[in-house]
Amino acid sequence: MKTQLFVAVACAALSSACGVSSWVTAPESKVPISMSSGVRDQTGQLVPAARKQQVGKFAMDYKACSMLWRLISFTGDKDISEQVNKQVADAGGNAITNLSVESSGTVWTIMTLVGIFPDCGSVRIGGKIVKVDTAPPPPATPKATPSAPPPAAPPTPDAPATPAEPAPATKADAPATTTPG
Amino acid sequence: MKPHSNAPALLAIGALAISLLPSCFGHLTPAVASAHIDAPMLLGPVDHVGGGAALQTQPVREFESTSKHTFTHSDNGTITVDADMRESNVSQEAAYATRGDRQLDIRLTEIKPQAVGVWTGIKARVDLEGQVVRVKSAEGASK
Repeated sequence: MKTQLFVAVACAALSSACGVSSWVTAPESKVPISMSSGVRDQTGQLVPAARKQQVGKFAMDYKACSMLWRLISFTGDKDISEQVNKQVADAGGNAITNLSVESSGTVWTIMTLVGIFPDCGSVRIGGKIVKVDTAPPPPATPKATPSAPPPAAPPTPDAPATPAEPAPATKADAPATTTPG
Repeated sequence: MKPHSNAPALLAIGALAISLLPSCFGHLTPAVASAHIDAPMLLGPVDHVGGGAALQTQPVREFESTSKHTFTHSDNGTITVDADMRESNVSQEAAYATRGDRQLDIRLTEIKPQAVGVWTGIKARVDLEGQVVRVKSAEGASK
């Protein structure tokens, strides 16, 4: 009975597939890599789409290899930093957005049904190389209310104030008439 | 007795290896992980464009999501069943994790592509792990 059980367990273990796994890393990347369309500027604000321009496409792929039920990964950490820095520099961009990672099996994956055998799979990585306008925003100018009509003529000191549209009181005006506390 | 030569065996092994080599190529049952959100979902040490010091952040919560693709085929002689299932919760999990907050980022600590062969097909998946952080912008515009 014990022998049969042992054989059953051994068969189950041996018949489970090997598979592949790896880890995508970018520890030496010099530009931001985002899996979404979002990226921030120096101030920490999200960069609007108007300040982003796609200048190229990032693409790389590699083979991942493992054996012994993925306990041993020959590929391990796959550092994409070098490719990222090179392709972004070549395209003249300064960020990667919409990064996508695609994992797929190969014919070999089907053949290695016994998990101790080495296995290999394919990994494709893609994305958009974008150039973000990093110029500092123009200095803030006083906001002109769009509904306010332009001044017709400079008022003279003796001229009476026009009662038509008094300027709305703002908080910026308040400190002149209020006291703290 | 005439000595045996290893040449035929080596030749056969070489031929077998060469014939198996193409089997390492191809893209079967691809599982794709990508996020359709506005919040940054970053891999690597650089968290913004333009250079300079890293942005100040405060951890908020953990993040996990998976994208899967499974194809199975079974045939008992009279009935054939093919199942092609794609499932990805990357965008949903990312949207839920950031909740539309423009000061939240996802910093990925692990992107793990995997593929496994089974008796009836192939399973591929991409696992993502990371952390949701709150970015303290220079203008303090946290809402």
